[in-house]
Amino acid sequence: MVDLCTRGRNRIATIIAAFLLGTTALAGRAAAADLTVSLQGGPLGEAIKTTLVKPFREESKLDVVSDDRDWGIGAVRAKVEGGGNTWDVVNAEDIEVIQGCDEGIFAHLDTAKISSFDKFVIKNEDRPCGLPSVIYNTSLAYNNAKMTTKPTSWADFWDTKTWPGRRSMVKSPQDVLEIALMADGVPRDDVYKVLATPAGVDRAFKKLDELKPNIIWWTNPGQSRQLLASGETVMSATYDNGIYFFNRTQKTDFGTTRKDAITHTDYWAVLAGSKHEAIAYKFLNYASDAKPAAVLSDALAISVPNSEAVALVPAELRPNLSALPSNMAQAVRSDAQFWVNHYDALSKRFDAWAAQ
Amino acid sequence: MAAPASAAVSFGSVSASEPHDRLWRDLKRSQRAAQLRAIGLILPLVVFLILVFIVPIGMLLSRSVSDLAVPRALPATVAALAGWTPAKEIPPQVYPALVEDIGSAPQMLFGDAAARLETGTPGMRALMMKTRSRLQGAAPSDARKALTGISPKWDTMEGWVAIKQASGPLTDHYLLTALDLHRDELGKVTRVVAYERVFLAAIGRTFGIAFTVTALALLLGFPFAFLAATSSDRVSRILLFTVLLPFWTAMLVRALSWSVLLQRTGIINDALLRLGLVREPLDLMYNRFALCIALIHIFLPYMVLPLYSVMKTIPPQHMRAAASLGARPWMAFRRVYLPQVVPGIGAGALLVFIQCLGVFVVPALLGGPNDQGLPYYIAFYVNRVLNWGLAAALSVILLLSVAVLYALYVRLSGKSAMVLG
Repeated sequence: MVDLCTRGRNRIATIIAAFLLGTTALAGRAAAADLTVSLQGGPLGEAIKTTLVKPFREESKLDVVSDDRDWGIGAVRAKVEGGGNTWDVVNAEDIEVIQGCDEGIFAHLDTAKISSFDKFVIKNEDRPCGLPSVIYNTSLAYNNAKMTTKPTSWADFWDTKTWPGRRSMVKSPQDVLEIALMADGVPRDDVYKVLATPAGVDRAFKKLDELKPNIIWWTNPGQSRQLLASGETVMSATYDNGIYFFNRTQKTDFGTTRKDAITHTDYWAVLAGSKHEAIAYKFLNYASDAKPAAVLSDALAISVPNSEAVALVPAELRPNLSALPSNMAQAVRSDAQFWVNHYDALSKRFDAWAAQ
Repeated sequence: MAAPASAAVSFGSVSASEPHDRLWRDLKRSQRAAQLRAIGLILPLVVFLILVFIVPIGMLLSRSVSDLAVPRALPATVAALAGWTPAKEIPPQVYPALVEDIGSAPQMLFGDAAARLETGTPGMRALMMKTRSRLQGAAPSDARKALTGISPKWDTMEGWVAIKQASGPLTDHYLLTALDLHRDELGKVTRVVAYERVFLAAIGRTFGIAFTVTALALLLGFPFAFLAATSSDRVSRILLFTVLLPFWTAMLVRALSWSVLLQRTGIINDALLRLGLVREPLDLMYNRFALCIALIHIFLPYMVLPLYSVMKTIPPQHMRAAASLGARPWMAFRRVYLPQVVPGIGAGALLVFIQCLGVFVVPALLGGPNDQGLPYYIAFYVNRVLNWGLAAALSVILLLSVAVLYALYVRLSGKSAMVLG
């Protein structure tokens, strides 16, 4: 009995020791990396991994690893607050960069250290912590195979007589309220001015009431494409690069409108207190260089901020790039600062409205 | 644990003679060793539970009432506002105090404070950020003029009330918000405007869906488990296999496969259209119906298995005996069989119900905008809005509601010993 017991205890001790060793080895491994890049899951993260992180690792001979982050800025904040942060560089959405910068999670960037920054079509403007990484639009997408007349505006998105059937939109006030106002006749340059007033918000929700029975809400952009492909919806307000990418991989014939599209920007950000700042800048330089950026641009049919990358992508992709000056002139830039200031209140109102 | 204690009483009361004492000491010694071994065996589990379960959950829940962001970032302002109530004039010393705090607060703390103020008063985040960036560390001689010059809002109560209400260290702000309530400028608790009331409805929805799914799963699972428990070994094995089969695929896959069946261009609508039963495809998806079907499918095994294991232990003789004593089948079932299955029903219902409260992927895929439960909002506030206080408060509400329901259930079923079957 005693014998058995001590043996059991020894085994437990062994297991605990092995566990501790294992975790310290893991932690040691992560800390030993020269640079850790945190990416959103999904196609964008995968594409960045293969087109930027891997080639950079091979070229620089540095131990550069990437880490998936299924969650948004919350995961980054949890890491920083937990004290065990191993991330150096993250790719983040516009809103997240502003939030993270305000909260001191991200470090201020010195764009003078980015050699190709003067070629950027979108500068970092009032985002002292962000360096633009990819650019894409929320556009009106439709299935050419099922249309005789093509929709051209958000007003057409609301026109259920000419185009009967359902439409899908993202389940979030961001983008949806802007689109509703444009459908109601607000010029794209005035959208945020109108939306900043209580009357403007009321107007957007009133317009949405009209279309509500015909809306399917998507939570993942993949859903919006699937809904179009299966014929569940006739139109969708969704990311244009996803549509081009879907056309390429699934051999579908989806079209998009560029007029009144909403342009979004993702950013690179460096975590405050990163021990590998010099390498982080090396990586950012590599990632914003025209050649590697063009590979990413082609891989996802997405725009990159470096204007010289446009010439390096296949000709058939070029007219679709949302960062093309002629396309940007027809679109409105998503005002992330507006959303940082209003997201909480508007999302509550949006959820309450949607649940009615 | 109870055994040695009661032994002590009985032994002690018999007599205090020498042999008894020694016997008692020996017994205690031998039992102590066994006890220590038992404690030693469960110790790793207890430590594990405390470390990965109780401590983090406790820390998270404490966020729902703790309110330290503002006092940490703006200590002087909080002190200057200490004696102030909104009925009085704005005290002049708060202006230099705020300028001083803004100048000295580290960026991270200041950002936290601005985000906290925003949760109580929309617009405060922008105001704080603007004020900080305009001041740029300068210390103007006339603080009041400088601040009101940056934004006339500093001349009104609103901003100061917001800071005052967030002065900590404890707050009911998040818990009130989680119940669609808030404090007005004078500190009175009132309901928020109608178009911003989301959480009470979400709580009701969460529990409504869980109730429906549990009831329907019981309705479906009971006859099935009965059949499996009473048929031959071979048949029952096949039946159980069919219940367990869905377990082998991920929840996400099961939810998505329902969308293949239910969508407008899906298999069911296709069949109905071809058979001429309907003219227009039916809206089977993006509603409560699709959500409940998928949830029942996913959680049915949790209902069937406890029922089956309980039913398996009920000898068939009981029903026969009841019949031989003159009970009709329904009477025999109700008076003899059902009471014996109650523990299984309780365990199955609890398992299904509690799991239903926690799902948020399935509603996002199959439900409509009116089917999003509390877990969705918890994830949303943790991750998107970074309002962890509110997320914690919503978790507290969810946890408390479950506890209340569970207590009610134990009370009603009259069996305190029935802890999760």
